[in-house]
Amino acid sequence: MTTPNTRLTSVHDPRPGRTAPVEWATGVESLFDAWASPHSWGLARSTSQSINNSSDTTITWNVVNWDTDSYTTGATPTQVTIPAGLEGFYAMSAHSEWAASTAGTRRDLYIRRVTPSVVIIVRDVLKSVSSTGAASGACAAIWYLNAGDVLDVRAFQNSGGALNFTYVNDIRCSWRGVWLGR
Amino acid sequence: MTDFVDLNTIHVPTANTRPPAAWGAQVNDNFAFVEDRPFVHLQRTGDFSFTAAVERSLPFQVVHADTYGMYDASTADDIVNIRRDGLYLISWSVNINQNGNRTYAGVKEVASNKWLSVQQQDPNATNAPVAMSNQTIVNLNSGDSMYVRFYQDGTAPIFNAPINHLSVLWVGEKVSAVFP
Repeated sequence: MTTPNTRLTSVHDPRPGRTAPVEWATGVESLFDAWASPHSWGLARSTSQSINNSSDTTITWNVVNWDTDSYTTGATPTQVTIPAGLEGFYAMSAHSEWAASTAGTRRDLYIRRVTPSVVIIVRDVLKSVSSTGAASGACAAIWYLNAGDVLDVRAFQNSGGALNFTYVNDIRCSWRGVWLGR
Repeated sequence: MTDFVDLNTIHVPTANTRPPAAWGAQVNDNFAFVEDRPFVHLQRTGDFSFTAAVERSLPFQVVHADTYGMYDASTADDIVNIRRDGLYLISWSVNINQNGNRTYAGVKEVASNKWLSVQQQDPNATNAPVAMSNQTIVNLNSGDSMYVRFYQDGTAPIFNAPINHLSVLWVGEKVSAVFP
């Protein structure tokens, strides 16, 4: 990958009679890389994850749908790290599906910056309305992130016992983010 | 409209090599494309009565923007049609005047009937107004379609104007075969 999103004015001052160096053309391509291959990640689960009662739990993503810039490491990442040169504004969304249960009061989902710890966005999904109806929830944010920032998605429930964060074959049970600019 | 093309497919800059004219032309076309990238923003401004306990879609009334011909009210006033493959940022909001025992809303892809975004609302707030909104990031193909879907089982549900929106923005080329 070329140096991402080079500021063109940092490599060439375009005036009549001046020839642009190769770094300028490389910089032009790096700008369009953001659209040709949007800096982004898409994580999901293909199986359910059990969440203990009243315990904030980090979601482990066992499917990496895509990862354009090594935001994650390993086959089952729990975190996203913003790579060098890709600081900027990110749109992020996380979706969840909880197993059916009318017990308790809360089914939370939130995106967190781990260090320093900040809850970026939280969604109180709320419990099922019947013993057979699952509870769907989602949270989303646009947030400025620095290179090296580490993020994760956490879940919380208080049904009184362990409850599954369930797999559904669509957007539910996923975490995605895309760089929008800086 | 000129199309977006990955510049690396035309020319990879190297020292002492002048890019061909086609590269420069595509730089120009790419800027033109991203300035008017595919984007649609729709809104329903009037109340809308619908049958309780039946999932249905939201018909829109106002087109705030449609840069790529993704919406045609004369064909379907509730559907956005994707005209170009890509990674899309979708945001939506709905407001329902009453909440029954169960309320949910989101955006669905039409053919696959898969949720692109969905959430459920508190079942305890019976007969209180319900506002829901969210955003999602999805890979979509040209030919895919989507609509805002909602459900609630209260009595005489009505959407309150004007907090009912759907916007769809192309943020880049598709990055995965994974759908959505």
